Amino acid sequence: MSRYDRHRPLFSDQAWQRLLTTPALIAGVGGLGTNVAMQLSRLAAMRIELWDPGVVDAPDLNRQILYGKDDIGAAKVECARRRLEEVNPELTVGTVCEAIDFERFREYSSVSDTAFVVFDCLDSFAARAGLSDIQNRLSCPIFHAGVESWYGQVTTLLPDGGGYKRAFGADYGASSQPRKPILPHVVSTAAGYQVGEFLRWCESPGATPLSDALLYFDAREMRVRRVEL
Amino acid sequence: MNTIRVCAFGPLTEIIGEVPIELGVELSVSAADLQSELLRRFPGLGERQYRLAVDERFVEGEERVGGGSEVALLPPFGGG
Repeated sequence: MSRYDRHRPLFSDQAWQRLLTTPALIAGVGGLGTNVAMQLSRLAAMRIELWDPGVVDAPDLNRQILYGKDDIGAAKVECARRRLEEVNPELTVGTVCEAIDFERFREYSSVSDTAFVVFDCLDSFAARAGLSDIQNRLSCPIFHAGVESWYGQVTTLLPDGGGYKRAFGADYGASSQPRKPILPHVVSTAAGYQVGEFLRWCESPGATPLSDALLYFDAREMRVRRVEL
Repeated sequence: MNTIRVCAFGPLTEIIGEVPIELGVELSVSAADLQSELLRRFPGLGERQYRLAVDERFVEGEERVGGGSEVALLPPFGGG
């Protein structure tokens, strides 16, 4: 019996190979990033690279599921790597304790030698400019989510698909807000959609259910709204 | 006179309320004019970015929003 038996039948051989061989860069290992990483770690013997310059702080523990109280003060990426390797020793986990942008990616990343995907788990639109730059130069898909209090949005930005500007308007970088309250079930929900989009991309890299749409969810009133792009 | 129904999403309900509001228009109104009218009625909207969506598509600028439409106000969520 394999640890992957409960989900392997859901994939074609081609999609499974794509899952195994496509490195996943997780930009931001906070609420979204820890949830995405935990789900990916259970899917396959993947190659994952974690990017985050931060250290674990007590208020992170309400939703950042890879950390515990003994991690407070330690680098997030290293705590996350240890936990992921406990969950699945078959993973290959790289870490970069830096904020991501194209120059740092070129200097520090171990996945730049091959095709890779990006999970956008960053905490501001201003920070996402670096991901946009990486996508424009290296044509990687970006699985995006953003969250606030009870709400979130998800989309997939495929290469040459118009990127963040198409999804959020030309002035998306100016939409940063002061830090907002956030609930654990909201980040888990958004991260689940991101991982689901990645799995659909493994089946069909040319289009996913959200590659031409934004999905908004309200996890308070349990409403979902989809907008075509 | 026709009516446009405006629904806020998420935190924007704290500004315009949970219940959809109705605005009277002639045949149609531009997205920009609709946003100006909403800002006049609800000054708190000036403090948040949001986009207008009609029939599951974003509209902006001089694009027309017809009477009878349902308009959603959708803010971006930046946190992670």
